[in-house]
Amino acid sequence: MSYQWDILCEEGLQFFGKMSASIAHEIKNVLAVVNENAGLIQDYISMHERGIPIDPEQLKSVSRMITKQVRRADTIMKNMSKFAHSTDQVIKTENVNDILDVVTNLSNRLATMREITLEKIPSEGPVKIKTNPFFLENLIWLCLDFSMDAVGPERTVRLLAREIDNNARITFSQLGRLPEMPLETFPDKRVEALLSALQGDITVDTQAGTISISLPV
Amino acid sequence: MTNAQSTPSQIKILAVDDEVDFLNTLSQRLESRDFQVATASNGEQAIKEAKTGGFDVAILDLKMPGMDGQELLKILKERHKFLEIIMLTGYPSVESAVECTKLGAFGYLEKPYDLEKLLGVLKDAYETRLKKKFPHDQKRMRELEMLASGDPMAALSAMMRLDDLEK
Repeated sequence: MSYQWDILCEEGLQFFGKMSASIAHEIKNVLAVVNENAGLIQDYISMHERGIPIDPEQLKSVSRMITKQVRRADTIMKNMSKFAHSTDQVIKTENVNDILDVVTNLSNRLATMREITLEKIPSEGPVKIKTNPFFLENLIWLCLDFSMDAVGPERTVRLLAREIDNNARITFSQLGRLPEMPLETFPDKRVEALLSALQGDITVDTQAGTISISLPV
Repeated sequence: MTNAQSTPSQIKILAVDDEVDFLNTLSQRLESRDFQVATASNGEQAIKEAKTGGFDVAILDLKMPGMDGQELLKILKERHKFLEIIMLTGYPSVESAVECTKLGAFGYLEKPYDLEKLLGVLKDAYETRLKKKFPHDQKRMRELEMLASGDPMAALSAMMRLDDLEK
């Protein structure tokens, strides 16, 4: 196995682990709220047994809260499922916007913890490429991670996918702190290994505050 | 001197968590058990509340955006030496438990938690607070030792009466 393949494997495992851990944390938060509300129902029952009548509005409120958390967990698991299935095929024709959605949804909690908002700009139409979906997700994540460190004072990273000159281009913008970043460390060997595997290129524009990935369609 | 037979003042708790739905329900359940609860959804808000709140115990979420629970724990312990703090986390680890203990946390519980367990830790935390606040009161210490093995809610109620006698 080549050195590059070793990097891809190691980075891939770390990426999968990081996203899985984040999903686990989100689900734990959902379970914590459901657990509290189950306890609240038990409290109402205990009060009722002591002769205090149960207010139906209180029960409705608990029911609404549990339903809200079930919907939240369902969305989290749908994202996780899409992510897990991105390893099904080594090469697949995909809409880059769908891949960007998967990574943005997975990364939202991690961005929130850093007090950053992710804003995916809708593109004019589908941007279809033949690619390794998992490697592309990994590459997008690494660029997004760096972008979050470089984000400007508005604390919002914008993501956009477009087709330009027979290439799919993914741009991360509003990176006001790019000039202050240690650009000798980016792209690093992990990003370079993924770019090589995907036959892509990367451009870091400190003036415009953007990072762009180009991939052949 | 407060009448020992009168209703004891409530134990004041500061609960801090960025999950507002969780925080509101936790607050409701503790208030129904006669605790006085204030809530904050981030570290800065918690520090402001603690400044004027006169809290006995704080319950902090470990992972929060911006100032995390560990950083908040350190600041609160520095500024409020008699405030006992219980950490809550959905992602427990030995390393973070040890670190929180070094920073002065009284307890470290995993979410979702068992309420009876939390009440037990609250009782122990309040007992520790009283012992620290009134270290020379040997009679109080003996009374507290006798209460230590009781039902958490009954023990808390009795401890509050002891605390009230001091005021």
